[in-house]
Amino acid sequence: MNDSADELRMLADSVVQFARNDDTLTRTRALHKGGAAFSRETWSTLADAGWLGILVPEDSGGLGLGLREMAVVAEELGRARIPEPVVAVAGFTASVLSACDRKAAASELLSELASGATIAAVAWQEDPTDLDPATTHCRATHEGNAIVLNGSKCLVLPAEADVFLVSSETDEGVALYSVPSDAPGLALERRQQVDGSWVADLRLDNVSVSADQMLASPGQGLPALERGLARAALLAGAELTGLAHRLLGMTNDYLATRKQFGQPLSSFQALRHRAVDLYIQHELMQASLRHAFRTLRPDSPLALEQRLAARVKARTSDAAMRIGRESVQLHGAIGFTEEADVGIHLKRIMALSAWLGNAAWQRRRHFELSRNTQQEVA
Amino acid sequence: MKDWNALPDDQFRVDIRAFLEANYPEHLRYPSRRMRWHEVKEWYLLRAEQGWTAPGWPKEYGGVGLSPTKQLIYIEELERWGVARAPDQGVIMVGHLLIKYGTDAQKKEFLPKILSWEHIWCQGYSEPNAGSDLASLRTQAVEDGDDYVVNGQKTWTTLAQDATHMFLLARTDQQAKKQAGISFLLVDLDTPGVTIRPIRNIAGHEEFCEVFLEDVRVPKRNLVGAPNEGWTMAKALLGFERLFLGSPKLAQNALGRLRTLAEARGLFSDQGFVDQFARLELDVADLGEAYESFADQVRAGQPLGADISWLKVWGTETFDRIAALAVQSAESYGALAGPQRYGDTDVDALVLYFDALPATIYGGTNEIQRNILSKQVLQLP
Ligand SMILES: Cc1cc2nc3c(=O)[nH]c(=O)nc-3n(C[C@H](O)[C@H](O)[C@H](O)COP(=O)(O)OP(=O)(O)OC[C@H]3O[C@@H](n4cnc5c(N)ncnc54)[C@H](O)[C@@H]3O)c2cc1C
Repeated sequence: MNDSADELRMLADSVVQFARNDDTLTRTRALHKGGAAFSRETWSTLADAGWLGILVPEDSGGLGLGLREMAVVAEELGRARIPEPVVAVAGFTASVLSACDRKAAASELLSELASGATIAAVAWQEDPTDLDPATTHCRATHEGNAIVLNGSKCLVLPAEADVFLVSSETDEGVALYSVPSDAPGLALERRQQVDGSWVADLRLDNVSVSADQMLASPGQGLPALERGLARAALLAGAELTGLAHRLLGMTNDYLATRKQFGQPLSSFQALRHRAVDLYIQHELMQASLRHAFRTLRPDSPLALEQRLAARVKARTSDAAMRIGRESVQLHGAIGFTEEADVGIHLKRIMALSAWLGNAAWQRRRHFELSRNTQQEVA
Repeated sequence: MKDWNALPDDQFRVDIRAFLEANYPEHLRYPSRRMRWHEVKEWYLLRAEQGWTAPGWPKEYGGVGLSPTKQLIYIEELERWGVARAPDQGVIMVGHLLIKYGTDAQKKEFLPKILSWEHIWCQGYSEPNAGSDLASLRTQAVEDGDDYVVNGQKTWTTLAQDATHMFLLARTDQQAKKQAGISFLLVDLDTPGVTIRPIRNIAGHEEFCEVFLEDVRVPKRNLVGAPNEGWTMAKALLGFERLFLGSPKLAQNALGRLRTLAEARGLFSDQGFVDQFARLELDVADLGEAYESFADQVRAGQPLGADISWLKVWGTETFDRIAALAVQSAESYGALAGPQRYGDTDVDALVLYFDALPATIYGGTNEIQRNILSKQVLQLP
């Protein structure tokens, strides 16, 4: 127990160390100015540190650690507001791949992912208002030896991926295929999000794939996606918690230094109470995360993971949005400027909150999932 | 000229709506940021020719002299059609200031040029260290012959880069305590010594500026009211500003956008959503009623009291709640930049969010409004 606590602390410290040398906010602003969301060079650094391989099994070149370790890293990356899509790729994509049944193909992609050589993104959603991975209209049909994919996907993160994991309906259920971004027949439209990241809408027009590009065989795609979605939501919750914590620190510092009416803002009781309310919001975020990791086991059933993930994502999205909104308010006009650090954090929070189901959606999902469980118990 | 006030209210609405639909440039509807002057100029110059720059000003000064109810209808129709706002500080602030406190010469010099848009005004109150505590401002104006010589820095000045003039508060008596030594000056921004630097807002737009004043000579005839009386006038003006900021137009427009989004997404068959929407609808409705009664007060020539602060609080926070629900209702589109297609119109939920965000800060933060209310209205000891 103590060993693992030490290990987690060391992992967290290593990210803190990295962030200290990175001057992340300056770097991020420079990237955004050039229209880029993140840096491929930093991506390699993150790979070298091992963080992209935390969830990747050792025999695929990863660290073979668990969700909890990944969450610790995600939280620290959030605190530093790293623009790289670590949770999307090393969290979401890696979790989906780990749950795929076509082990050889999945393992190869996992090792490229861990080394940083390949950025892979899950292309599963087709309608921005439908977050059920079973709603798949993209079709995979056999044509001679090849399989041909037709359909469309939306909001795939990151748009810069080299490879997409495309979910497709077959006669025997949903399958997953790896499709390189330059595959003939694949058209990609990039759209920018509020935090400077890019998502892609994909159109697949007779995209031909071979049998060894199949990652999850028909019928196996859905459980792999469900597993990945739950884990990604948990990890996004951890990143949001880090972001919110950073904002709290910034805001409290500002309240203590900025003077109006001849005294620090922090001396006004109305503002002290607001600061405390935000602190409570962050405590709640941590509580939901802690509960999830106290409950989860490496072999926890999917249903449990999904319920915990919904709880964490609902809480963290809601609380982070509130902390972000209020932090701007407590900074006054300076909080509404591009150059203020508050804003760049708020915008990241907005993106992560909307990703894979916002607070309202996750609350409902949690309600339904826990009702199902209660009915099963009864 | 047509007597608009003589029209029944419904007919007035129909006429205004028809006019906008026929004449307002399509590409300027529902702008995704605060428009710059050159972008909206053509439309506002056309309106100026028609005598419609200042619907609320009395006719004797070149306004339309609309009744408060009709002003509200007018604003509603502008919002409904998504009409872009002009850099309108001249109309909403300077006009009222000069009509009430200006000399005849000042009225003659400035009012017609506000109406023709030859002069564009910006508001120079805030300074880096004087935000909520505005009375601690440090920009000074020192008498020198026929001029005041002004030195200092203003900040967060909305659209100063498009303005020709600034109305500013400066300290004219160094000895007097805070509020007592402040005067109101009208400054031509072409005067040597003025430097304007735009500041980007959170959404990346150059919406406001810092304005540096270095030995800027302002003729004494541009002093409004008596020396050291600036604070009293500024406070009276703030009433107008709060009335303007508390008007239901932002919230109403946001509610309309949310309705479009909700209809396209079929959210009205979701009871949870309907409950939230219905609540907001009533929040806006009562905001509208409150606004009308404050506006009646102005029309009747009565000064606005400190209670106007509640209108600003309620208006901006209602707007904020609507914007938050719009972002939530946009679901996975809630983080996408730019307008998204919903049914047959585009809605940009993020624009609503980023418009609502500063509304609780500018014009006196909502915390400061609450302080005022607790002290001056509730008279809590
Ligand atoms: C988009 C935008 C446009 C603007 N346009 C103009 C313009 O054209 N001209 C102009 O002059 N100004 C303009 N302003 C400035 C605006 O008036 C100030 O931002 C506002 O008065 C608050 O001042 P501040 O930003 O310095 O915040 P501060 O006064 O530093 O306040 C920071 C926080 O502390 C709170 N606070 C401060 N004092 C107290 C207290 N005693 N009790 C409780 N809470 C307190 C505030 O409510 C706020 O939440 C604009 C601002 C914005 C955001």
